[in-house]
Amino acid sequence: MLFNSFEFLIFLPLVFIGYWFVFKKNLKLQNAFILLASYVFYGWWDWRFLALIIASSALDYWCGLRLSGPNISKDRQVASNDTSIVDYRSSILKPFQGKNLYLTLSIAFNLGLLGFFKYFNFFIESATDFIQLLGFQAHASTLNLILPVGISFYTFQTMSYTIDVYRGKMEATKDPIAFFSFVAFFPQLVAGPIERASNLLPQFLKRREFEYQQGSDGMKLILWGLFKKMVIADNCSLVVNPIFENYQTASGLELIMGAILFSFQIYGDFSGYSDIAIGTAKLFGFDLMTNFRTPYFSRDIAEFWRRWHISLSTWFRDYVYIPLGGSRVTKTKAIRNIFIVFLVSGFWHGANWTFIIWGGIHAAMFIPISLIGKNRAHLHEGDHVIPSGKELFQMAYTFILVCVAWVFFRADTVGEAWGYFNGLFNNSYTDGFRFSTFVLSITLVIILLSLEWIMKGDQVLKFKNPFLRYSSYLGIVGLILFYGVFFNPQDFIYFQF
Amino acid sequence: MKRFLIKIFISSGLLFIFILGYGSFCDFFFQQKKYLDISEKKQWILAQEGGNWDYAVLGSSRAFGAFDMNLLDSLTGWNGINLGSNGSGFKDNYLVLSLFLKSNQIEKLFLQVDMASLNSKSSFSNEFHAFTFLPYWDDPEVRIVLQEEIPILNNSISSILPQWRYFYYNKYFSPKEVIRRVNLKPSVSDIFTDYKGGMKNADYTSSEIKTYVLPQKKDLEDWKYLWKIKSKAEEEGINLVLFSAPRYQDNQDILKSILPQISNKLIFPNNFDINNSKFFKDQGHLNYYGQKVFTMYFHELIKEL
Repeated sequence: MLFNSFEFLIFLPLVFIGYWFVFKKNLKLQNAFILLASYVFYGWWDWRFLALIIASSALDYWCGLRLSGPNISKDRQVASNDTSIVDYRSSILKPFQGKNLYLTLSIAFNLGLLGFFKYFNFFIESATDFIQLLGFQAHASTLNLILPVGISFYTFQTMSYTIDVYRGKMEATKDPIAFFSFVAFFPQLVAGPIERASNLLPQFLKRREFEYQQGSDGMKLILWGLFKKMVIADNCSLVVNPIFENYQTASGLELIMGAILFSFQIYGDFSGYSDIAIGTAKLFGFDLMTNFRTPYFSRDIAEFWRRWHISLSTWFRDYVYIPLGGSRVTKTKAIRNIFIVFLVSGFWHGANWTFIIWGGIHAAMFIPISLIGKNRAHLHEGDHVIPSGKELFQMAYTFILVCVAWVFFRADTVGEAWGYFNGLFNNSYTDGFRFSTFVLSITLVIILLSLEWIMKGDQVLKFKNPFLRYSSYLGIVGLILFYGVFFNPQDFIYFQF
Repeated sequence: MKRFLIKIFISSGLLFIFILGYGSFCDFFFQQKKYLDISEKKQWILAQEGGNWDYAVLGSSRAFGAFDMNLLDSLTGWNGINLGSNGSGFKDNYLVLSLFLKSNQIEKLFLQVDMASLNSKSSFSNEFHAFTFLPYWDDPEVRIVLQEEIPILNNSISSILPQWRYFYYNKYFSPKEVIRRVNLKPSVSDIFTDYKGGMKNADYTSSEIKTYVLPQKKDLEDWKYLWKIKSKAEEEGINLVLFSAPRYQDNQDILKSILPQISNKLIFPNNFDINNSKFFKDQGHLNYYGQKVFTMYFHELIKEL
């Protein structure tokens, strides 16, 4: 079920009424209702894949209970034994002993699901290509697999739970309904934000009261998210898709516009989804983590990554980068760690070399800043009403770098991305270029950026001046009604991840 | 909660009223003949009224550009109109004919048929142009087709608030479009009247004509609408003739095998030299010279009917 669909327009009020008016008095029933609604929401797409979520939830719930059980002391015993034979044995067996066994089981199962459904064909094809490159004959035999929507999101979310319980950062829950609801919570099930168990799960365990302010903020976020998705992203896609499909013949200016507008398409698409998800969760009394913070106002790549897909970048920071040693290691290892995180992050997006290169480009842009110790130079947003010339230059520079990387992200193959850049330098710059094609998208993007700049530091559409506030509501509704793409809307891009 | 719900109800109510109001305005405005954009062929057809025609030609761009209408009129001594338009499949044809007949009369109808219009979904240009007919929603024939073809127009919102369809197709019905229509200058935009709905084809011959093979099977949906056109013609007492416009190096065996199920009044350009590239500007469309030759050839064929 899509957020911008007719079905969701019916589904949301029905769930809202059931949640607050029928099941409000009993927390367990309320959670059970949310769980049922979430399964209906997911099953609307393909009910068969519900089995995967249920299996993942069940295993991690059980692993969580075992991780917080009496095995902990046994594991510590093994870990503290310092004889060489036991050291050797324990290093081999360590992942399968004590609480490590359950963590290994959880991670193996979730990554196994991901690996099978998302990466199986990629590995087979890449191995075949490699063997052929060596001069041997090989034939790939791939499987016709459908990628279950949201699998990359909920597997990461549920893994965060077992890892946090393992690390002792949180207690395992004994309430299966709350846990299953946490994994399947419909607002963020299919495209995030990837919630931490330590933030979301406790919210399922306590009684929730409807608060006007929270509900109102939720509605504003939903409205803003719909604007970003239906007006910005979908209008940009109408211009961007033909350019990427015909990059060989497109003019240089069209290719430049294609890359710029794709940057706004993917931003509007994904951050719009996140806003609707966070807004919808607020209607049910839940606070999800912020996923985007005006990333195109970033003044360097490091700042960009503190503002773009925050739930994923912090996930990799906490569960990959820091365990690898983070930046508190030798410079070589620090560079290695950054590369690993960005490459894995790229690979997380999809089984394609284009995503890996996209990650690699970001790593290459991030490392120099990190090496000179400037990666935390822009921790705080500037509070100027009008940005300084220096800030504007930094933002433009960062945006251009990000655009270059987006070409790889958008292209279907690495060859296509190279072809795109090749066309940029070799095709005629102006032949066939019509500015009128881009006027609407550019105007809408300027409106988006202006509103984001005005709202910077404030919450979405929360203007203190009532005239400004109601004008903004009317303006956004008007833009959605008259410029939103209702006919043939595009699927959310991140559904494919 | 009470305050929240009150605000939601008020906001939803205002939204409902706005959609109702703007949609009702569109219902009125976009049906006004003087605000039709007659530089667009279908709109030009819908703007015609009070006509009493000996014959009409209906179909896609291949019917639109097949004839020199003035020449055909002078050869036959009839008074005809060309209702063909670019990218039209049988759904478009059916609704155009249906609306045209509300204020015009036709004696004979020459309907152009080919395997592209019998495969509108896979054909790159013959998809249904639903937005053209949205203002005529109150007409049961139009509404039935729109609801059948566009599932989103067949849901409960459409039954409670049918005016919302203008927002679904907002690209064609925005306030900007209203302003554009108000400022249209009819004398400048009427490019079809002189050619009686037809067009003067370009005097251009392609040095190398690219050929494409059309689908070999008919789509049952399109077939259904072909039958609907036949029924409509019978209902209105119109003499229906199916014809196939020349297509460069085309084999029309499949058409010849299936069209007799619809009618025995058929015209195929059997003796028109479809291998002569001088007649064509592309595979499916005649050039200026081809149009003249085919018009005279067609005149000979209709004598035999």
